[in-house]
Amino acid sequence: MEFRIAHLYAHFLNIYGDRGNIITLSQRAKWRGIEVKVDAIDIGQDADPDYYDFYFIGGGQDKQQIVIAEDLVKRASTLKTAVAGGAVVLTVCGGYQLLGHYYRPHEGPELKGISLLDAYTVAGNRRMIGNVVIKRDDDTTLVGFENHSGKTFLGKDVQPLGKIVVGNGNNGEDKSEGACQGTVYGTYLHGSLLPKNPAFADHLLIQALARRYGAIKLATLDDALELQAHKRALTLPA
Amino acid sequence: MTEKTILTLADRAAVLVAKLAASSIRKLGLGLGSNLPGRLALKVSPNVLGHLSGQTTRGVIAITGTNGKSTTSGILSSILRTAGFTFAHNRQGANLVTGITASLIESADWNANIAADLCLFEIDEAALPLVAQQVIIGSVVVTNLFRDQLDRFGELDTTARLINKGIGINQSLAILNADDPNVCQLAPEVSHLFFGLESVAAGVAAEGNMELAYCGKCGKEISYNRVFYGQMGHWYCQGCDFKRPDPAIYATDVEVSATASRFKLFIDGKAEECTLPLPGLFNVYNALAAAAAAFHLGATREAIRAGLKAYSTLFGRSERLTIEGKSVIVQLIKNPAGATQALASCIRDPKARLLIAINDNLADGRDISWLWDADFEQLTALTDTSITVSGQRAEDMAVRLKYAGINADHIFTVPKLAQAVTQALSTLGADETLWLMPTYTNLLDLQKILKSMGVSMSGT
Ligand SMILES: [Zn+2]
Repeated sequence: MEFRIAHLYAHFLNIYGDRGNIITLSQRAKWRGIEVKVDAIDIGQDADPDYYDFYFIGGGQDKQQIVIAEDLVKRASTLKTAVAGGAVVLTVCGGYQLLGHYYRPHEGPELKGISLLDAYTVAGNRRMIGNVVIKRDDDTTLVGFENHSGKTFLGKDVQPLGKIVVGNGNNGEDKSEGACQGTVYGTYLHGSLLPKNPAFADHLLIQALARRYGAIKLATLDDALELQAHKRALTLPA
Repeated sequence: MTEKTILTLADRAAVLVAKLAASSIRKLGLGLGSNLPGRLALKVSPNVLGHLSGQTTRGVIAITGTNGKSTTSGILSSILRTAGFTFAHNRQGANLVTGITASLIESADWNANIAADLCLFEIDEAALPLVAQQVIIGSVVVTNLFRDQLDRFGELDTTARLINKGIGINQSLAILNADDPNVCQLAPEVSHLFFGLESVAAGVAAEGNMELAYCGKCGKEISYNRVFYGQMGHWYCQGCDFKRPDPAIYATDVEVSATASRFKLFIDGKAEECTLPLPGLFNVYNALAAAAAAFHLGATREAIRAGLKAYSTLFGRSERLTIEGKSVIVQLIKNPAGATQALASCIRDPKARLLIAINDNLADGRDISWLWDADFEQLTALTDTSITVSGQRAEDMAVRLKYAGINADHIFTVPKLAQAVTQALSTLGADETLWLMPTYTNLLDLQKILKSMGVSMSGT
């Protein structure tokens, strides 16, 4: 079995520990004897929509966001083909914002998104920084750290990833955090997201592998250290 | 030579008030790091910082940048002492306006007179414009600019803008790292003095994760002929004519060991054989920054060579200690680039054992995502080494090590630092060295813990 990851703009958007998500998925696959292939896909570089099981886009600085947005619009149709074929897309922070319909800054023109998520983002006046805990529909929790001023609002075709227990989330107003539409995910949680949320990491892994291997069961891992860190994060102040 | 400023009555009163406050704080045992004396002084005389520093004959030199400010200031101090200069220096890492004011007042007598040739200020990037508005800064050294400050300022561009503004206010001479493309785009309108690394001995590898940089003129990704450390190296832009400037002060043939480095230092076209008792290429950059500043201030080549050799480490910056007969190295870690470099030094020591302590207080940075950007994977080179993790975020550190490929059975989580230190020392072999890597507030705790064991760290 092989797990194929496309890390979009890996060299461009490599802050906030985004690497941690790739490391986590790779290791959790390898520990189960699954081969892993990670490709960094740069601006202007094509990615075969039939090839990859999983796509990741992280966060970046404002200036980089503009360049990324232009490139993302160009690859929108291939990404949509990949998603239609069952590929999983995980986006964090800046990447999340660009997966919606648009990002509206304080000044200047709107940045066009690719509408893989029914959501839009507007520039806010305060930076939302701090620890976050969210509760998912199945009562499980996700923990992480947010640092953003953009406020994201969800449309009717998309579900929030969870409900805010600690922190701000999508916009600091409606208690929602993140977005999930089919196999496409967006979130403001870094920290990194996946190392401390091993069950969610496995959920993404299973969903992504289902594209080529159907319903599979992953071998159980000893997650004592991960769960300890998760438990600790539940007690952190916002 | 600058003209001496005249002190006002308010300045003298400010110094008096601050000194009284400082002495009562000491008597009450409130400890170091209080901002109160500096804040009081600025209340009494808002211009006291400028007036006091204006009394020195050679003026003010500022050191700023993401990493290496303290080490560079420390090396420069060592050179200046060797060269026979007297100077005031904000030694305790107090690098915001109130802290600098308090430090300077400590160097003054009760009459507010300062008997120093110059002021050496280590200044936080964000505080540089504020200090520059009050003080005439003759020259500004920028060590490097890493993209690690998002938690504080939002983005690198903000930091660069603040430094530009700070340099622009007094049209200071900019002493810049020629090898760092992020630094070279600073302050294009003032005079420059560049320092850089020309060559390393065969077998010396680049350090750190290579960091991408983008051209300050056209925005294209920077290309390299050579990379030495992070985004530092021999760089050029393919999109325009922006390229690494030729440095006036440079090192060649750098050799590094686990504890020191040797190199030829070229100043004014002539070479000196230098030894620096600090490991890593990163510290060679700090030495070059200090050498360039010292040369500008009038130190001789011989004084620079001797000052580098005589340098002894600062609080928590790669400090060697003997505790209960056992060998310990303390190295502060606070961001991916610095941590990656510290780990690179550590794995050169085949007898290394590790204790990593991570806190997430404001002074440490509340966002610990950076642990995932640092190259802990290099630790797999130390086979079978047990690693103790401690601090408020010990559990996160344990997970990071597990995913870096360290066997989970070799990772010991001991959140309480005092307990972790005792445990790590008690199991340390006589021929082994304990590498203690704390974040900033863990380092402050460590200082107290070691003091209770009868060991003093420098800066205490
Ligand atoms: Zn260019």
